[in-house]
Amino acid sequence: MLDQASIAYRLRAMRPGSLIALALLALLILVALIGSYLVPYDPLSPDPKHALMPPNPAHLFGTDQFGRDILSRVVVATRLDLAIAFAAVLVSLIAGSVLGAFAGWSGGWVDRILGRLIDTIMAFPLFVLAVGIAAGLGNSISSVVIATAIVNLPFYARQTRSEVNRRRTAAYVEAAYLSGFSPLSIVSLHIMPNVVPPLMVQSSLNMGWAILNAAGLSFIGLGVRPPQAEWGIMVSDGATNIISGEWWMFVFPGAVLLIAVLIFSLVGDALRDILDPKRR
Amino acid sequence: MVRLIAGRLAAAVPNLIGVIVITFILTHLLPGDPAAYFAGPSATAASVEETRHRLGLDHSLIEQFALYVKGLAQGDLGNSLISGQPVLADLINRLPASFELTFGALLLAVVIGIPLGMQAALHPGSWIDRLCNAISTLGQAMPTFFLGLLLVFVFYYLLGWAPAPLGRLDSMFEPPPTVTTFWTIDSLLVGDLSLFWAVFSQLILPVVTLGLFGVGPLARMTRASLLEVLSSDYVRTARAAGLPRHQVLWTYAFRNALVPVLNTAGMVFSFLLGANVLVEKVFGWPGIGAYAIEALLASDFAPVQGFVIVMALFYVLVNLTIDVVTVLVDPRVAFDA
Repeated sequence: MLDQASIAYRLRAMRPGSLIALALLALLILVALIGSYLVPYDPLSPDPKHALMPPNPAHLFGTDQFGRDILSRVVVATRLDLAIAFAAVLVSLIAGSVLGAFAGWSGGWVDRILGRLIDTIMAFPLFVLAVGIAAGLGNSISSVVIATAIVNLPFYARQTRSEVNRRRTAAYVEAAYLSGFSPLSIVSLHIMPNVVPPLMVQSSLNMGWAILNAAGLSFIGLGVRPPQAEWGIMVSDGATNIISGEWWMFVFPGAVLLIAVLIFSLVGDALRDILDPKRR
Repeated sequence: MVRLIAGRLAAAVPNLIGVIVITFILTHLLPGDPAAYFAGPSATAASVEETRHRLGLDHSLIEQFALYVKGLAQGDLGNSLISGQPVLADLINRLPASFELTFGALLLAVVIGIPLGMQAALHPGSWIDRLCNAISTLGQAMPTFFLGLLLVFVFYYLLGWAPAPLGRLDSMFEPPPTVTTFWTIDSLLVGDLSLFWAVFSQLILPVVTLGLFGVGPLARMTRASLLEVLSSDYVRTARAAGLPRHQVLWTYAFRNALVPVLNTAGMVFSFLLGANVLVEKVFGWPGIGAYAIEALLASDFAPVQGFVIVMALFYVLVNLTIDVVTVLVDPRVAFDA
């Protein structure tokens, strides 16, 4: 376990890049929370008179084929994109760590069945499996969340399993066992606090991947539907207008998507530096 | 060697069974009554029942699974509603386009990624090391479809260097006679250079889009693996014995560094198979990914499931190949397993 003094020390010793990453993450979350109240235009209402305008002072990112303001749509989409990714990561974090802890603690056939299940998921190209699951569950946002969560599950389950399994015979665990703690409370109170920091690093790196996965699914027409503002759909909308030169339609949502994912991967690296400086 | 391959084949069997079970479950996730769905919107109650019987949906789940496996064994993946063709025939028609794209991308990733990683390992901290790092960070964050569209915008719209992103070959040309099904190779086989160029110029942007995503992981793994090997005792000994640099690097270090790189290549391949779907959509590429998307948008699920299972089977096969190649490169691996 990390004590607070050492965390404070590591925060001070952090690379400036990591601080910038954390600041950008705060900004991104702020945009997701209050962005929809700040935008200059309604992201959904069409304005045919101002369709396909290039970036100008009134519309900094230009307008789309229905005259909707792209800046407003990109900002409003932040909440939906982050929410989908966050929900997916949360589901796979919880389900994966519970399954992994169970398998790691009990070993035996439980462990073998879980291992087999995870190998099977990993036997698919992950995006292909995500497409299959999302298509099977029906075209909705929640099926995108579930699909993304399932393809992410192996990473959490494997990591938790090996960390729990490794600690099963540790002296403090045996001590707790002899003091009469139940297995459930040993795993949840004594072992899991040690496993959480690496899982947090994994989650942050995973958030970026989950955003990409969800945007990819909606890019091919699964999940979020127009006219809802979502980065993948906006890029997909813009794709048809490239040949006529209206670049702003796909460039801005695509660039924001790229930046958001980049922020999460930088934050993941920063978290790893704080929690696990040896691997730097 | 034969025993080894047989062993790996046997190890792949549980994965295959798992893949088949999961695709079967996916078939049964379909919301609503599949019989009513497959019978069509104008179906009467009797024709829905008839469809239910024809699809075997009136059997128990276990019996349905048996029917499903039997169908798979006979290559029956159902029929596509939009094309009216058996899904298997459609997939076989379109596989070469996807393969040419994916293998081209893998080749590009290997040809750029491994030398880049080697240079980075030989000169840690140099500009090439930093470039390697930047490419892999950016590659992890870049949406595949966005990179593809950016390349189309720059090289087709702005510069006019690339042809329109509308498939495998300009409609002015006839595809070459089929030998290998890879049109770049087939056009060279008949010695038609202008046809080769037409095929190649269509291929280049999608291959670059897809391939760039393999460069980062391959370069990073090559770098890490080679750095570790270079600091080993036997490399130190070889150097101390005064062997020439290139001999130390290629004979002693490189082959030992290659095993983790091969495993990374397998992961990269899996990623490329997934990203294929997005790249095919961006470039109007007539492969199986684009086929699955078309079917998806028309709520035609048999092709989507066929696509998922073909991709998974193919990936199992790729992993098998990589296992075998790994043992050829480093026979010690066979003893660990």
